[in-house]
Amino acid sequence: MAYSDNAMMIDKSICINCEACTTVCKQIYGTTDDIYRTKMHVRESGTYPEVTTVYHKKACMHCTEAQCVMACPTGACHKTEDGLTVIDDRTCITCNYCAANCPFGVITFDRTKSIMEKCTLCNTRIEKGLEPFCSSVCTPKAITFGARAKLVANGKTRVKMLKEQGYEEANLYGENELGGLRVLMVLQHNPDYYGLPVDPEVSIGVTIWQYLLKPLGGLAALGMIGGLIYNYTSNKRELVKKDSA
Amino acid sequence: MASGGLKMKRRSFLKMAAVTGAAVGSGMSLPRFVEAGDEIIEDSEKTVFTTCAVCSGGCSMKAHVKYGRIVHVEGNPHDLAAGNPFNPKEGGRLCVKGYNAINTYYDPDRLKYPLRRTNPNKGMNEDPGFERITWEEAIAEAAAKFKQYNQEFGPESMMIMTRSNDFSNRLGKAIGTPNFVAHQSTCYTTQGAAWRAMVMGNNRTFTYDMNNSKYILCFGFDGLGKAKNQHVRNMTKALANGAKVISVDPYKSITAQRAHRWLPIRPGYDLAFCLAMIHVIVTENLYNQEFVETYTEGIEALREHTIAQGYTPEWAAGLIDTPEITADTIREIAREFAAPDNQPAVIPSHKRDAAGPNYQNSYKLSQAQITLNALVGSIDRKGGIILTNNPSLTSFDNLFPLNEGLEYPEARKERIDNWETRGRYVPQIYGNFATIAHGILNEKPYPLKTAIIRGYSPLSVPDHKKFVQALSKLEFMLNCEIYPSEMSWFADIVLPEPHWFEVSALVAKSYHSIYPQISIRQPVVPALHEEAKGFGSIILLLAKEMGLGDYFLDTSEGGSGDASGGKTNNKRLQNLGSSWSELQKSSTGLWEPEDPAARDYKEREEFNTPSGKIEFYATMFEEDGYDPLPTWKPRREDVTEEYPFYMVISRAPMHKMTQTQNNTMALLAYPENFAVLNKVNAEKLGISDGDEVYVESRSEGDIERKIKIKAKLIEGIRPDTVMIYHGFGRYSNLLTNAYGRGANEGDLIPSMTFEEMKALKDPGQGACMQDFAVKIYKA
Repeated sequence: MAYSDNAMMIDKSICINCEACTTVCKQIYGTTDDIYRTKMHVRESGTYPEVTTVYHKKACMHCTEAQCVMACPTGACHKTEDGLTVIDDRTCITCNYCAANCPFGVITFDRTKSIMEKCTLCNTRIEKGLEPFCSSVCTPKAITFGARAKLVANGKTRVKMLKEQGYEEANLYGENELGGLRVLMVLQHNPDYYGLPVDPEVSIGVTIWQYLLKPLGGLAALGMIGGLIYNYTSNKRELVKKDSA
Repeated sequence: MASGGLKMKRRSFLKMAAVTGAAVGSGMSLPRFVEAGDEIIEDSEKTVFTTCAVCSGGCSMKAHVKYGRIVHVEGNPHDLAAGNPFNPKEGGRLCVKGYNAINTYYDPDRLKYPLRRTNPNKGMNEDPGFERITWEEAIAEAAAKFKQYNQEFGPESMMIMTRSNDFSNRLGKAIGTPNFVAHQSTCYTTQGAAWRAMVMGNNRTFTYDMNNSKYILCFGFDGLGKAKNQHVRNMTKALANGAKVISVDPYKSITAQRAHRWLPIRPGYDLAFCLAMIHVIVTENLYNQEFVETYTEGIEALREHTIAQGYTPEWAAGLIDTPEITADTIREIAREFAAPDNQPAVIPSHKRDAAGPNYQNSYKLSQAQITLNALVGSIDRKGGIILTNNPSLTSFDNLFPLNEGLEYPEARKERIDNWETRGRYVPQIYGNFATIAHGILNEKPYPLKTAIIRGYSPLSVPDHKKFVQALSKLEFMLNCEIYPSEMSWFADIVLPEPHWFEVSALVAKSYHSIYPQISIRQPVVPALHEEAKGFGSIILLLAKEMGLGDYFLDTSEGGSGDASGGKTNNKRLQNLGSSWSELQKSSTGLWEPEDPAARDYKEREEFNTPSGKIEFYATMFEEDGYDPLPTWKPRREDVTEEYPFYMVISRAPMHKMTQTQNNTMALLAYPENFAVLNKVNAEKLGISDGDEVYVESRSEGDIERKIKIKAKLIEGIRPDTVMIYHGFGRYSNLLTNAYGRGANEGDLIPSMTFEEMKALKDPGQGACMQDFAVKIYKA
């Protein structure tokens, strides 16, 4: 499946933690109380006066190798034609396997509405040629949206500049991780400063689940049905035998 | 797997146009009534241009309406503040406060109709016991009270406490009171005084062209952290273009985090740093010779002075006494600031950064900063500080002059806040929040009996507990508001105004006028609360009831009836060659001069000073008994053994002063304030992150200056400094979301007597908002 070429980039060296993105996303999608599709997290490290503070916009990265999709037993969590990860509430059974297997921890169970809540990258807007809300409202334009190649090029230029400014660990996150993340990030420091997994890989557990256990589960279900049918028919023969004795 | 069917059922919510406050319920979030949010932009019923009023930035916006509700707002791409008129394709932006304004608009706690107090007692713990009354009752009662007390105690016994407004200004003049008390002494009068004396002579506003700056030196200036639209975008652009940013700030603000260097200066000692920078730049002849020779006056006097005073980096470093700021550091920064490769270099100062009215030496810091900007040629030049080019709007007095024979009574000169109104440094329409309590409580120079108070909060007045004593002393107070705020809490009658999403106005780009531009403000949806009346209308009703209606007649040519806001807007536009209906029909929601040449920097050759040049030696200051050259003055109060912490006050980016703490969106991002301290204090004070502490400054008489607040322990702040965000410590129980959150640092700020203010010899009459020390201990 050839996915669309567009992507989002979040330049965390520009983000000012104002939460305009959080605000507008919540206004539009009306998530429950303290559940968010996107939320800012602040992490401070170092010792005065050598202090490092990072602002991390936490939301679905729309991985190419999406472990939530692999883990979903019903197929509710799926990839759209455009390659975005979206959960269909109609077939979701809120088993939470998606949330448990997300390497970024960005899927939240909303008990009051019985749905799994996460960022959709405003997929229906993208389908209409518009950009997601967060990138369209970000005041300093830390969040941008457009052709992936262009964003990657911009990101690499930013990384170079940041290194010249003294951020030796500056890097572009998401270019190739997990087959490529739809949401790229320009980081000033190593990913672990932001709580991001370094060089994440699809976990063995999910792979086994996806390729072995789910199909086995299907076989097991078929086997159970077969067993029931056999049990029902064989019992009948026993009774006939007894009667004639 | 296409969506539809069940998804519509779950996600499509209330489609009723008239969703009442009750339906919104706790007000925790707007109802989700569109599918996936995508149809908001294309399928909105209408898009209306208006202008945000949260701050004075005046960002023009497009408001999207669906099902009769404002569902989304976005920045106007053609606007100087919210977009880029030279390249509108970049798209428009707002700041988080503009976006969350929708939630203020639909806040169920908003005032809906006039209220009268039934509880005769006034106090922080006294519920007013408001009852609903009619407009007729409200106006009749208020007018009767004003007349009664004005007759017995003189017109000066009435105060009008609001930002300058054409209608209330005229009413005050018609009554004959001198008491127009506003907030600017807590805002920017220290910068204003220095700019007037050295550069402008009048009219304070200026804008920062940081877009084009190469070196931005900030003394407490947090352009990125206040989330103010244009500051954020321009500073970000500057950084992206390779500009160097230096942040000199006791707290590691967001600007400090993005800066190339963070210098954690001792609060109130920025003046020493700047004076030393002047010393280096002048004695080493690093300044922009051409600019200085052509456009400034007094360089030799400055040179003599700085040498004679010995304002060397060594001297400054000794005073600043901070390991990270050595004499070499100061020398290095000075040389960088003046280096040709770093031009344009600029020191921006907006409001409550170090040069704002925080310390008794703040106006001198502003003087020093202007000196530095002039030395490198960054005054009214690209990349520097641009003197704004606001459009010239006809004054109210010229639009509606008084009829022949009608005059204003002569008002007493002395004011209840002792604000000195020698128009040179501060206009009469400003005022002094620092001394107002002293005046009212001590009946100096005379008793104050009544007041009209609009929009302000007692939480923003220094020495809050003292100020509310003063408020309680008033015999009658009329409050005009959109929220039942803490000011309403002390009112006798409260009148509901419409929210700015419902009103009409012209908005000139005060902070962003590179060239003249006016944006329209007009009602986006029909008024949510039918009984709300605009302030101009309220004043007109009062005036008529008080027999002063003749002062408000429409005396313009061909005019009839009364003056009004609508007529004012239309006539002002007509005088610019346009009209209200033309502006309404405009495809950009903006008025601009037709001549494209007018869209450029003016780059003045002459300045509005006695010599026509930027005066290092400010002759105006000299005439009025102030130091004409930048000189050292320490803080009023420093830390002591008993009070070992410096105090810094700031604001969270998603909150606007005291106006957003009931806003559910703003609260989700920042629900309460803290005493922010360095982690090293945990052991000293025996506290952990989140523990409650007392913060206390020296008390006075029966005023206890002490608050209880949770501590937040971080690394990014000087160990001897505490930082508290403003806007919390709410006690109006009619604000259901704000009530009880956090604490008010305004309780700690000492107010001043008239004598104390005079003794400061500050031409800006600044309120010294941070010029005191505190002690902190576990609760």
